[in-house]
Amino acid sequence: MGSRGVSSVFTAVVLAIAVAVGIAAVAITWPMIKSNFDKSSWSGSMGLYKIGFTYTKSGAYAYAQNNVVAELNDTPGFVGYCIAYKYNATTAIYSCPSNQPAG
Amino acid sequence: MSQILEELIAEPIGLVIAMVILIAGAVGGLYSYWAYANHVTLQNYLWPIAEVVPYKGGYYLGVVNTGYEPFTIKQIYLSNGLTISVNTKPLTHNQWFTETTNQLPIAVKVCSAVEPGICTVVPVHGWAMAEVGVPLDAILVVVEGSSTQGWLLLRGSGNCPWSLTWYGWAGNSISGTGNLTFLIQPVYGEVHFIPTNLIGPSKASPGSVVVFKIFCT
Repeated sequence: MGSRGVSSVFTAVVLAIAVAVGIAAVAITWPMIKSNFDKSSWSGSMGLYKIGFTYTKSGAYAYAQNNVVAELNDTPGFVGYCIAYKYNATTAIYSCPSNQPAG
Repeated sequence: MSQILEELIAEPIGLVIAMVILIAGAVGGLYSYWAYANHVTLQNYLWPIAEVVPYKGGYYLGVVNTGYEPFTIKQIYLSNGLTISVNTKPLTHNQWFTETTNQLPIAVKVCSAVEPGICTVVPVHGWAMAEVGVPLDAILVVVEGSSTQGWLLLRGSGNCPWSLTWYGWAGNSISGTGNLTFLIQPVYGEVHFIPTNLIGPSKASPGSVVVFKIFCT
């Protein structure tokens, strides 16, 4: 009788530990899964990040998404998450997250 | 095996030992898993973007933190196999780090500012050339002294006064002594030019670029 009581206690403890481990595992795993989704979403948005160029009466400008606008200079400058500069009067050199890897 | 276990847990001391082993195992396993998950999660939130453009015979590298997890830049990998070790201050959201190199940078290693042992290596995005667009209701006029011919370059100096008059859909005049880029806007039809000390086209249409070379006789 006493032995069966002890066994029952052991079984209950094992079950309790199993439940606790399961809950903890889910709590630990969820942020990791969410971070994977967030990273995929970020990679997708960066893969589409581009800029455009145009002239205005006050000079040459580059424009990116989220209403980012910057004047093009002869030295490299930041335009949102891109780098761009005026190579000559009608041409710009730029690097953006959507560009292919260098090399 | 199960008989041994049953005999072990039949005694109170055996039960205590078994529970301690179980709890220690569970806690140890959970801790290891938590450490792994924490590592992966933090690494997933390192969002650096690295870009490079050619500039003045070398390369201009920029690295920006597009995320909210601060990081430091540790190494720059070059195309010739060498690496440049750097140790920047932590870059927070939208902060840039720039560096000029002689060799083409192809990858950058960044590490979390919170957990320096958690790092990621990202490729460096290359460059492209793009035409700076001209509005459809404008003509872009480029006046410049440079030329592929040396004698023209010498004569096209800043001491050479020039002027340009245009008429047609729009009319005006402008003069100068050096390089100048400007828009004729708005214009919805052909425009004719009368250049003085300039070599270039006689007319242009909206949305186009015209280039005049400075030339003094």
